[in-house]
Amino acid sequence: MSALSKEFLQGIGIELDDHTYAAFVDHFESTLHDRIIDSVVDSLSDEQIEQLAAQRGSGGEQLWQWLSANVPELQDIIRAEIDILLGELAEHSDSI
Amino acid sequence: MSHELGPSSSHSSSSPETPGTEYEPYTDSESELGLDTESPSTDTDLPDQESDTTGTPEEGAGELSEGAPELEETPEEAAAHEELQESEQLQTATDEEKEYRLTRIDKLLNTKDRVQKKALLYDQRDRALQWNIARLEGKYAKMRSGSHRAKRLENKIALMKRTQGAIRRNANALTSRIEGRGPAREQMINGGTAADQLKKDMRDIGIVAKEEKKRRKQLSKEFKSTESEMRRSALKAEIKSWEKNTLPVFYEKLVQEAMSNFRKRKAGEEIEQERQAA
Repeated sequence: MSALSKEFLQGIGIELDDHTYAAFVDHFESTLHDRIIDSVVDSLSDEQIEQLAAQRGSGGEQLWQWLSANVPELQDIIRAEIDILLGELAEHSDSI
Repeated sequence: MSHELGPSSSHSSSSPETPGTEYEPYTDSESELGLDTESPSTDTDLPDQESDTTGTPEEGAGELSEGAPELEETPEEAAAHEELQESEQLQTATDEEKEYRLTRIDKLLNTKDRVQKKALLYDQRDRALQWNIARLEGKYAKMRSGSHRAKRLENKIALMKRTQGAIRRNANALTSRIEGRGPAREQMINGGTAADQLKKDMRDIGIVAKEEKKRRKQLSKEFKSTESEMRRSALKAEIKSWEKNTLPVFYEKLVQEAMSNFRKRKAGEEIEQERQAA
């Protein structure tokens, strides 16, 4: 299930067909992902970022535990990035 | 073709205010009588929403991107400069948007005013015609039936009634235009549609979030060495390249929560409260 529902987009006057909607959501989530990573990494010390990079392939649960322990503001980061992205979406909704 | 039903000198001579004067004969073609045959929806009084652009916020913001610093900057100065520019762009976009909106509202109010004045003119013309028709019908009743003069007068009365019918149709069209589009105008004047309001909230929340992000970024800079930036960038790129679902599965729930709560939040309030609580 996508975080950006069709209903939400319709709420700000954006009507998309299924194909365009899928591409749009993909772009939205990809952008969001990149920005969250940027912010998470920015919040880490040099040592921590080395540790995070070493988590690759370590398994989902372990990675989640590491993030929970080392990025206490993860929830704030995610929410801030969503807010910023949605703000930009609203700003440009007329041209979509 | 735009034949306004404005006060013409020929018709004013037969107005109720000058009952003693002779009325002008209504034997001309309908167009010369001043029938407004154009569709109200194509009235040129209407503001052209598409071409009515006094400069979009994006355009205005774009102009600010000129004038990059010529002196060589340190990475910190460059980042600070970038942040300042972003902030200025945001502020300018908001101000220009407000100005644009106010201009639109002024235009809409002026248009509404003009349309209402036009409707009033139709009403005056209708009453003048009604008075003249009644007067001529009284005159006609005294005439000998079938006479040449009576026949002429009968034709004039018929033509005046057709004119009156056209005026009333135009007046009705104007009335429905004022009433029909009124709510939309009011909505725009009073802050726009629900979608507009949601978009405004989203923009406001986005601005607050950007400020929060800047603050967090600034704090994190304090414990990072400039020398490590390259290494950090490389690691960041590596993490981004992880399989698409490696990270999102962990924050997907948080994303869903943030999205579903978005509508319930008011710009800045919750963030500010949490910031203070922290």
